[in-house]
Amino acid sequence: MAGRDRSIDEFIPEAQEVVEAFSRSLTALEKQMKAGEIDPDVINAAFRAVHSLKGMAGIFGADAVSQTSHVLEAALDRVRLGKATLSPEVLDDLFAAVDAFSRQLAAYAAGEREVPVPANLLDRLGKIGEGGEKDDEAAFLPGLDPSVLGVLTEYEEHRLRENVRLGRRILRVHARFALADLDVGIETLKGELKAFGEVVTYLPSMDEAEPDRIALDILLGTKCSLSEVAEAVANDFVTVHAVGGQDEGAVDEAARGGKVAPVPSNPPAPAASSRSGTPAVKPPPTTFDAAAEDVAGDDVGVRSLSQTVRVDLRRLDALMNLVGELGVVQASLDDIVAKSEHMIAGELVRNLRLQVRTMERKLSMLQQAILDVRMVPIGNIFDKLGRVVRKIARETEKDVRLVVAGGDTELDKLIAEEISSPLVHMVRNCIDHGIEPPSERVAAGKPAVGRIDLRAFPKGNRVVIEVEDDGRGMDWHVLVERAVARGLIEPAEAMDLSPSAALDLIFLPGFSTRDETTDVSGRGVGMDVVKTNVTNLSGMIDAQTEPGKGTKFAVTLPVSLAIIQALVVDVAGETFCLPLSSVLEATLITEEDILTVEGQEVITMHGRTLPLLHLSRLFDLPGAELGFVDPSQIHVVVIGVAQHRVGLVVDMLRGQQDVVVKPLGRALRRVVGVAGATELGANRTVLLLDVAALVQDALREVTRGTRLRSGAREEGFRG
Amino acid sequence: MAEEHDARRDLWSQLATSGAPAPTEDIFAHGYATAGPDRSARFAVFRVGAEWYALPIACIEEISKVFDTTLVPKTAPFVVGIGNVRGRIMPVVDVATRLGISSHVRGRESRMLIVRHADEPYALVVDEVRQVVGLQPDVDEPVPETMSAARRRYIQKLVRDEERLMAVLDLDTFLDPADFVVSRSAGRGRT
Repeated sequence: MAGRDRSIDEFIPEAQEVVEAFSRSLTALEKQMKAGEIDPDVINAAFRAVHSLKGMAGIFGADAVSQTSHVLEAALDRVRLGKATLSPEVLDDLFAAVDAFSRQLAAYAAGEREVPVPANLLDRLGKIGEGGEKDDEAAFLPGLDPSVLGVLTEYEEHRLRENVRLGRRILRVHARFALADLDVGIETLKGELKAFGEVVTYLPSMDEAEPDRIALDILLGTKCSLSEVAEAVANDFVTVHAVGGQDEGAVDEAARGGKVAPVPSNPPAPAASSRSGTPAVKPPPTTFDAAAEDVAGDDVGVRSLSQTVRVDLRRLDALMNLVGELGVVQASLDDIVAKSEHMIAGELVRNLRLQVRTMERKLSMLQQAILDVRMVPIGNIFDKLGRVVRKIARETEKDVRLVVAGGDTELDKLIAEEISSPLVHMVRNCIDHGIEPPSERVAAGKPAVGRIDLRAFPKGNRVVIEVEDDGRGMDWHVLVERAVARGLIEPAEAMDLSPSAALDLIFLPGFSTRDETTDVSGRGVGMDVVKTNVTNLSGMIDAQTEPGKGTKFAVTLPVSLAIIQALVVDVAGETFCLPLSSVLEATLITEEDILTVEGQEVITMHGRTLPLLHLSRLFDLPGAELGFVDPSQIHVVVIGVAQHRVGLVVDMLRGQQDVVVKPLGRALRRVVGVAGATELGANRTVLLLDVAALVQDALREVTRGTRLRSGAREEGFRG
Repeated sequence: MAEEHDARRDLWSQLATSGAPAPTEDIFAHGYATAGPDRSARFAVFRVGAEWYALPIACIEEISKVFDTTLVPKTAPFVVGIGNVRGRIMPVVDVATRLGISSHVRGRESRMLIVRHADEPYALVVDEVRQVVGLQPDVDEPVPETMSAARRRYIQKLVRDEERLMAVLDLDTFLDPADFVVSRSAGRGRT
């Protein structure tokens, strides 16, 4: 492996991944601890993560991380060997190590020379399981060949004793694997056995030496009977035996069914009762393949077993760009084929067209493939949020349970990164403002433990992330009072606000529902920042609340930013692209559908009143004042931006297209309402609109106009 | 091995600036071969209206025929729009309007001068590109006081060859991003 010259830049992301894996294991452990059944595999995963981290830190010369992980590893080793028991206090220290690693990595990333080692924490970690008792050597391990006992590692021996202590049956599964598919075979069998209990170890078997087969003995700790296990796994190459002194004799070859070699095998279908011995929570897969270590034993780490390659996002962007440009070439080719149809012999043209079409299909597959590569599961962020919840709940002395669903929903890496801090903020808000202290909850007839639901699910080409709490909710009257008191809205304006419009007030800059600034939230940044972040990602945010019941925020995001689906529209002779992710629907209205409320044109759709904006006027395009092309057929594109919905009047809809967004450069970057440019084939360059900025700019103006008018309400008209 | 690695690195750096021009016949079509003497500063000379201007060729990437542009709303009048040269999007600036030279018609001789400024490409519309001349650095002349202050802002210096006096544009001021976008308050009111 490479030496110390490998740059620290390489170390940080790798280390972060491992720390996250470690943190996930801890979260799982905490859950299991509460449930009263701890899966040794999870402790092991945590141990392995720290072990890898230590190795990595050594290679890269990150001494602070190296020291910390060394102490932590020793502590975890004591936990996994049963010398220390997991308690909430121990877990606190372990979680503190996650934070310490994060701080250290941040320091390395910032190029700091002196990276701190948390001495107090190391001290506490060092005391975990201090003076803990080693397993009782004399304890009876029934019928196990002493030579076998001799080759077990300390950990394996501990697990074996632990299984006996828990009253489980120890079974020896003897398996012969063909050399060719040894790894697959072991994996499959291991998977089957795990359904019955804990696989304690694999031992190379002494007997028989078929040249093309390798024999292994697997020790299994299980609550099931020998025949149950044999039923499921035994075949010509696998036999199950009791380890002496227990109630069942060896079921020998008779137990073999007619099944063929381990691969491919039927998934085990043990009875529900036999599942009791299986871990409730499986550890999430880590980059450091858990199974691999079991097979390779101490060899792990010599060969990288992970099937992944780390790729710089910029490279993917470059690829994406290239594919976009190929798409343009493809469109021109298509054009040329169409034009040359009458000039080339029929057969040739048909062939050519066929090939061009095939290319088009492959190109779009390539495009999709690159998009897929950029996708990451939102679960990574949910894991982080889990830590945040834990931390804040402790700080605020509230009891909060986080319930996560849809962690496997995928999002573009960039979007996932960008949305994580708004989500953290929303979760903070939930705990700080939403969830009541336990006593108050009980008094209100709610369970003392508050609940926050994090849900993610795909919806069309968008992803919805919901953050819901069962706290005290928000009273819209209070929101309105607060906004008036803060001078954010005029008292007169306040009177006309509907409950849903009142809820939108929380997205105004400077709005806060608490007077005292707490340590957790309320530092002057609030939902307006969340909204800005969401809007920058072409996303939307919706809030729902019920006083006393809770609050739900729903953030809707596009799945991807690099290539976007665009709606192509014509306005005043110009062509524009609208990101389809902001478009809710397109509709045709007539001039009669347009009402004027306080000088602002509005339409009513699905019971909701939408302001109507004219793209031609927003952009001062020539001919903007001419009115509608056809007053009986007005195209309106309904757009959702943050919590707003508006109708945008355009002249014509040209259809949808996938486009690659290109930046306009420094000079034109600040044009309000334009996000970039894109090619639409035949070298035609078209602007891609930043609908969010455009609408907000326009709405600000509308609001200003309304406010001016509301001053002169007497002579104004009222609907 | 190392060479192969370098070649791959090259590919990626090329892809990263995707759309970067591969040299084509259009590039420096006008007089690039007739470059002046060595070790002198070389300038591309171009005409706007009846006036002659120059830019160091170091900042010129390409000279292109006039291409289609796309209007960008809410920009200053001198911003023609954006153009697309082999996949690269760039602002297109009308030099005459920017300098306040009124009467001028785009003709057969009109060209797009593609310059690189602060690492980004811009296209300048000019009426004619004449040649590349080599000028000794010591022939600079002061900008005359008679030139209007507005225009003098965009002129770095004057240079002269045997034939004529030319103004060298100062791209820092000429392409100042602050001037491209029309501020909101300047827009007219609307309902």
